[in-house]
Amino acid sequence: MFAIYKRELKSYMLSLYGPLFIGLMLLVSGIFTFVYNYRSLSSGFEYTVGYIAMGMIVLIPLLCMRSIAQEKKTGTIRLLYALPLKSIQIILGKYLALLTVVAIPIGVMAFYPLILSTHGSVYFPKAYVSLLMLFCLGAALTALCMFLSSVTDSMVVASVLGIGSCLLLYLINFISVIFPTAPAASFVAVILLCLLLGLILFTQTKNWLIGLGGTVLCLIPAVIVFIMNSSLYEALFSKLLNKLAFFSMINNLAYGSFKLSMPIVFISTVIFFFALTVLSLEKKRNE
Amino acid sequence: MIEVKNLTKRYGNHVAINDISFKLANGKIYGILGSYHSGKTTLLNMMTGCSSPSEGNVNINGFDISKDPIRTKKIIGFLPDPVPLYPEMTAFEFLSFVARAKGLAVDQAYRQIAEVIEFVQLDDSRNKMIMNLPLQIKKRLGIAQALLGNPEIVFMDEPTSGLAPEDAGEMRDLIRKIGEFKTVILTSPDPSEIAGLCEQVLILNEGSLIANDTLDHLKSQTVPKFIITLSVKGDKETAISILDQIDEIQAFSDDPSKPARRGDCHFRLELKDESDPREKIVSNLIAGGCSVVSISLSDSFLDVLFWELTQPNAEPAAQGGPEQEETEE
Repeated sequence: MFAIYKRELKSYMLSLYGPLFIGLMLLVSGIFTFVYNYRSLSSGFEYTVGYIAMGMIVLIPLLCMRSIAQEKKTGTIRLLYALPLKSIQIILGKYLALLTVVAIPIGVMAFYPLILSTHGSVYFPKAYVSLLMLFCLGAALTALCMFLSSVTDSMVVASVLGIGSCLLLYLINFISVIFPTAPAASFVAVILLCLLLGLILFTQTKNWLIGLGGTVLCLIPAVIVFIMNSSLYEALFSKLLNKLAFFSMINNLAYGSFKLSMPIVFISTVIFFFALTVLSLEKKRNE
Repeated sequence: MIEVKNLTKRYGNHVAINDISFKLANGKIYGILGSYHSGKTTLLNMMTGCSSPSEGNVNINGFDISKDPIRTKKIIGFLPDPVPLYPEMTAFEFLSFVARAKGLAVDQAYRQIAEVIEFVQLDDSRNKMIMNLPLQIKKRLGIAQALLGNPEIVFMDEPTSGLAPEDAGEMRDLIRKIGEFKTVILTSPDPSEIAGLCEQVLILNEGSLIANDTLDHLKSQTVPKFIITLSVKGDKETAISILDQIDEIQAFSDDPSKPARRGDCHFRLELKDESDPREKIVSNLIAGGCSVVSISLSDSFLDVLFWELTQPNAEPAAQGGPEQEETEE
């Protein structure tokens, strides 16, 4: 696993991808810090972090697009398969290398509150928790985009899928508002979600039992709850969508307080897409 | 000992490998011979754990590659085709990566890298970027990575494909050297290459194993024949009608060992006797408006056997490999 991590990190840092990502992230953060802190004479760095997160919508998919898609395209995936490594070790090495690149500009940004404190009073706990959550957001988006890179052998398709998905996550608040709040509408949406999950599991494992099992496991409690107390479905889908409003969570940190559910959502997302990526690699081996 | 049992690989409705079983003893060079799309690479991928079989299993030195992939992969090396390399790395960096990924300790890795670099003669290229290396050196680098970790068995998928004749010759010499102390299993669509390198051959046709025997045994069973392999650019029907009119040709069919490309026709011609009608064939084809890309006469028994076995309705050869004989006893 460490050999994969080292190779990947070196490959990112010695190619255009790593330095470009770090440079652009620092440029975005520099511009927003200058506009929202220096020009507005505000020392609240936590307000700026929400804007910096927008840069990740484009930059993380561009960083992750080659992660697995390129290995598939050039055939080096066969070398990885032939090595005495488990799929989980390969993915973990690749993911940690990406995460290291994502962490570098955030590490540099950790000096920003210190610099701002020379001009005014900075509430450090809030500023650093915001940065930590920015890193968690980066980790979740990296896991999502790495998975998308594993479903195709085209880097362009991987980046388009990644940018589209990140944009969807950014707009999820607006989507949740237009969604009907009636219990029946939420119930139908939840059923469709269960079917989608089953479809993803089936396409990743090519095992209809796993796909069907996943769908049924989610459907049974959903149906039971709807029969027992349908009022629980009132605006449920909108609430579910709001739970995935990663970018709003970062923004809300500046105005509200830190909730433990935030890192839990991010970590769950990482685990979910990490597992899907491992399944995707195993599926490719079975093809 | 490599034991393949009822190995099958399906892609949807297409059966790429159809219920193949065989046993191979260690310490020899084995050749898997087959035309393009006969299933050689698929079989090798399953034997090396790069692909999972739909049915059946592969046992290498007592380890099942599906159940215990990590331990099994530590005793095998694999050279895929095309050679999977990272162009942005130097040859030395690439070997260091593979050595560490194979679980070698740092000092052990450096020692083995130095040994394999010397063995495959990569000294001049060790610090060059892979993207700048010629194909012949890339193939050698591929072999070097396969040898890291001191595997007992080395698999090679078409190790000479794409190489110039003199480079292919050097590569064969290198494979013979490896075969002196390791079990080598290689694939090739070229019967003469297999005949010149291997002690035992497995012939694949459309995913089925149609022969598995030592070259000596196969040779003793083959009636000598003379075969011409011919590649023509032009209208296939015209070429066929011209070939039909040449008396020296007993029979002819499409050459399964060559990939079909637009405008190219590949034939195998079986001659009636030892007479060499190549000049006549070339002049008749040119007069008929076809251009001859290549023509060669072969009396190699494996060429003849391969041609016979891959004909439609051909009977499979007796699979009398030494290990199978022992098993039957």
